[in-house]
Amino acid sequence: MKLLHKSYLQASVLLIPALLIGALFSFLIIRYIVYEETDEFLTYEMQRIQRYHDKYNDLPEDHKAVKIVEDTPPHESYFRDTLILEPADNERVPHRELRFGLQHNNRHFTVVLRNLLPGSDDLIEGTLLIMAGMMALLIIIFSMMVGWISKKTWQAFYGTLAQLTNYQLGQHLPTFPSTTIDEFNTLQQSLTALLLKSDNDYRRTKEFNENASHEFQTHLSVIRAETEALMNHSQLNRNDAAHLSTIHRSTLTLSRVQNALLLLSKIGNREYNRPVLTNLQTTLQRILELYHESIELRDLRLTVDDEPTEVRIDPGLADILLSNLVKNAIRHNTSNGFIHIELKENRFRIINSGPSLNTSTNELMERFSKGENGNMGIGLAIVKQICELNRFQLNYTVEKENRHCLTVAF
Amino acid sequence: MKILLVEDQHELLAALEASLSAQNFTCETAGDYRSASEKIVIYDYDVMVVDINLPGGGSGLDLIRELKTTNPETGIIVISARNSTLNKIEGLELGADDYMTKPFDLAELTARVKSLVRRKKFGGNTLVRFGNIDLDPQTREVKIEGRPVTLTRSEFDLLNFFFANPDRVIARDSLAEHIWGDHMDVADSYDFIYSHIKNLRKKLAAAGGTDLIKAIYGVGYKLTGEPS
Repeated sequence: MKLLHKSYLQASVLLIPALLIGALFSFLIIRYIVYEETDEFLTYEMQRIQRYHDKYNDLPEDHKAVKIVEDTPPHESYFRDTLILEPADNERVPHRELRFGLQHNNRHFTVVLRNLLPGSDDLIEGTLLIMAGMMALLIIIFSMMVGWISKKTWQAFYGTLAQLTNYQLGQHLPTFPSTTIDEFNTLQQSLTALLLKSDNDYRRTKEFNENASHEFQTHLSVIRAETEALMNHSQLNRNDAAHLSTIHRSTLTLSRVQNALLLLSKIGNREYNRPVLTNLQTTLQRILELYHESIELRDLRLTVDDEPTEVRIDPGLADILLSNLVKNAIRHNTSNGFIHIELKENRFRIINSGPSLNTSTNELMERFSKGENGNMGIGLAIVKQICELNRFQLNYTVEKENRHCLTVAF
Repeated sequence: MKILLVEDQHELLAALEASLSAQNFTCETAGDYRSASEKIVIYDYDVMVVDINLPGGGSGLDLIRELKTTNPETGIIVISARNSTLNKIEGLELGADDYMTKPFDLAELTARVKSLVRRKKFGGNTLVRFGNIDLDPQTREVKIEGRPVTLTRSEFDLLNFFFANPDRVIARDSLAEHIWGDHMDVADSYDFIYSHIKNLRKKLAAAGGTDLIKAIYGVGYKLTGEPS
């Protein structure tokens, strides 16, 4: 919900009690005035009748007295409310009465003057209508004003927000729209400082990764070259040969781990992000071609059910994603096992036989989680990272009879 | 064959030199940009193996540019510790013939240098013969006494790799990496290489080929025998 809409909504909710209280006040005031006026009118009429009677000992021709009854003296004049049945619409209608005493030929009479009062329901309806009208008018004018003012005031804020949303690490720092509002200025300054810091950190990390990688690979080259040279010594005994072989192999493993970690951090840093529409079927078939020897040598049954599937992804990442999953399914399989691959209905699913797991499938996706042969789990960590980057749903379950099922939904 | 090796890591440079000299290449070395730049102006080389990151005022890419103007015939292999696609593309666009990422095997480098030399010098006639086995890297054909032997892709790659590195112990890891690159687990490679070599030797023996491939216990394999 937008800030403005939220403000409107909250203001409207607050207006409801204001409306009710306002209506109550109006009702009371109007009722007070109506009584005031009616009483005044009835009092004038009483005085007119009294004056006329004093002068002529008779009642004026057109008087408002509805009732004249003989009574016992003395009594003061007083007002009272009463309900009179209106025969026309068969409804009791409120009236105001003024009763006063009149002495006529030594007999005491009580004269009743009566005037119609507007009903309470009519009054309430009226006041509510007036209040609602006023409110509606207020709200319209208020919203227009606030909308106009807010747009001007918050312009810098929304501009800043848009800049920030579009910003990616490694790009030029955004220049925020200038503003005269102190709070926004502070916000922009804080943001710029924050961005500058994370940008610096990002560059430093990137540089460190690259430099570390460069040094690693260079010196690994030296170790490897020297090991190879030693391997070619003719007087090599079996023991030494085994040592050399281990060293040689470790350099290879180390350099692959290093490359995988560098790749992981590059994906995390969004350095691989040129998504284009990629047909994963082509990618998959190329990968299966590369791995078919591994599959054959391990006596695995491979079944593939694929159809052309186009997904927006960086082609390099698509390659890494699928080949990591295929490699994983081959590596963590059982002898005479199977691999079933499905690529259709906008998802990639790979099911393979495998060993039972001691760890949770979530743990396997962390880097360096150990498999049973001491394999480090960078492969799956990379898969997870690629899925996160592309907002793919990654799901890994182990079904009964150790069927490992990994699904990537695009 | 004269090769110029340009690499700022002196230990690696020495190892490269020793390895390629053992395969009867004449090697000269340069440890920085300036000395390499001088050498390519004065001498002619058949192949230049060049690192991209160099001290001394210029990069390996600059050297490629210079070499392409003074001696465009020279074959160029770029070696880099940065596995950067951008560097690779730039190097190849400038006219480099091959690109290798560190760390690489010396046997792999030798094979690539030889393949490059063949492409540059013989322009098609590339037959290599060891014992009674003829191998043509261009057409990917293997013949024993004129009779063709059918090999799988991996078997051919293995034999070709051995032929490019005669009399040299090649580690099983290096063989695996040559054939499958990153697509094979280090842990798995031993078994795979073992069964591939077994099949290869079986096929060659069945066709009456000389047994050239010798297992070196605990390390790997070696192609023995002189080229004939």
